Amino acid sequence: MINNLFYVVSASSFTLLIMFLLIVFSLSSLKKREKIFNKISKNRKNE
Amino acid sequence: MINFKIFKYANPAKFLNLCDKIFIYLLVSMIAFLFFGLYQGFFNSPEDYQQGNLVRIMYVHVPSAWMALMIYSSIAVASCIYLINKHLLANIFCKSASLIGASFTLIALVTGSIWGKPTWGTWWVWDARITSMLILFFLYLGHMTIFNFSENTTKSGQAAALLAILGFINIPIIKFSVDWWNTLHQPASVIKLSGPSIHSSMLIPLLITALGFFLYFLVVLIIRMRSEITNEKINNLSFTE
Amino acid sequence: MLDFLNLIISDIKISIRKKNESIISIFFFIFSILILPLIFQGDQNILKKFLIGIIWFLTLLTIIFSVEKLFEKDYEDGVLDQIYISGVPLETIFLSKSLSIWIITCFPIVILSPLLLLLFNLQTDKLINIFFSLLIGTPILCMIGSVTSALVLGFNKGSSVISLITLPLYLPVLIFGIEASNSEIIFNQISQEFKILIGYLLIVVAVSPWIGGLALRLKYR
Repeated sequence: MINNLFYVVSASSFTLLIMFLLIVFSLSSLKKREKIFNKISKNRKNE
Repeated sequence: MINFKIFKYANPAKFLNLCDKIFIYLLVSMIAFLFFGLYQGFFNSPEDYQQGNLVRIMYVHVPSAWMALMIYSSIAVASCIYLINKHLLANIFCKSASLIGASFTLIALVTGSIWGKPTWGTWWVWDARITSMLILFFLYLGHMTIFNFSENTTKSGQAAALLAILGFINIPIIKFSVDWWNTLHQPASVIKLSGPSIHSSMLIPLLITALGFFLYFLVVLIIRMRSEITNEKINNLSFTE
Repeated sequence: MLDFLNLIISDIKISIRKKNESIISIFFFIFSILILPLIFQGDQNILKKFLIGIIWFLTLLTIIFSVEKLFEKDYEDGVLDQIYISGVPLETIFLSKSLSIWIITCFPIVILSPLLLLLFNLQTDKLINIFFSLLIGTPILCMIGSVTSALVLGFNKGSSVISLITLPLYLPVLIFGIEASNSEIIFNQISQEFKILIGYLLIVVAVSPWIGGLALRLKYR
């Protein structure tokens, strides 16, 4: 039974890990792009 | 031209406005559903009389497999809409949903092989469903690479849309491969004409988790689509200089 | 319709006169089948077991080689532009191209492979099965391959990753083709695998000219 639990835990933790990584990755790319966009639009206004 | 009422949200600004309004509700309900469903699944549901505790892998394996198929189908529909109506938002949807679908396919494959090791004795079996899931994974990879072919989003988007429609022929094969071949894999037990053949104490947590996975997809989709729209804005700004 | 036939005939004439890759790929197919006994050290039993799979795999490779540069060459020559300017719809160009590549490379394969397999002492039923499954399966492979080669025509980076895009689309055909070749014909009834393969062919024939035409249009915008 302990052996089986190990498989269950590894499968579910893999799932949650991938889901978490995907969210973090998407959020970081969103933040990066928004920063660039803000910089460009600020430059545009100054001109 | 096809026209539906929902297409009034095809304007990116209106779409972002809508997303801002519903995002927090989606996030909260996603956390609630995922937590409740997984808790019910892992601690409160009965053991299978054959598989024992191992059956609990089902609560992450089955929803992610459903999501993988669902996302590819939705990409194909959005591709059709993009080719016919030329809505930019449909293209952005395809671009951002593809990675999510690929990761769900990866999750389904890996959890399936973790389940297969103690039950079948091997990590990997070349049976119909696993192979076709692997094909689906490769389809996602091809779809993602085509977006990187060119800086021109409309051009690469149209090519990717065509590829997605061509690959969509495989989806029915993947869905029904289990019934057609009599292989090692479990036959489909929830979506059937004669009603689900799974006991309700297992079915309810499964459905709640599936709903949680769907809400997760929506949340990540909104984040990724917002990021892609920002990217488009950056491109437009730098082109007009 | 007349354009369509003329395009096919001119394609066949050109490839016979130039002796280009598509003709050479047939020789590749024949030679690699004849080499097989050397690989398996003349062991008939192992060879018989894997023969059908190997035939299908070699067919797939041959088609990939010949379809890869299907539109690229004509585009570089300017022939594609000329045909397009003269008012032939892109769908017709696509369909004629993929049909002519089928006649040039696949038709000889379909005819030759049962004859070649006579050398390996297979049963006659199997030979008929292989003949028909190749006859149904190869047009699917050709059409899908031409769609992807038309897709990547519009991009500079495209041709390097064409196999990554094409192979996943080929795999179901490969699986069903091998299943159909191994299936047994009982009382003259068509087996289930053949029906699936025929259905797949019909879908691809219906959908791919449209997709291929749109893909070629990406280049001409």
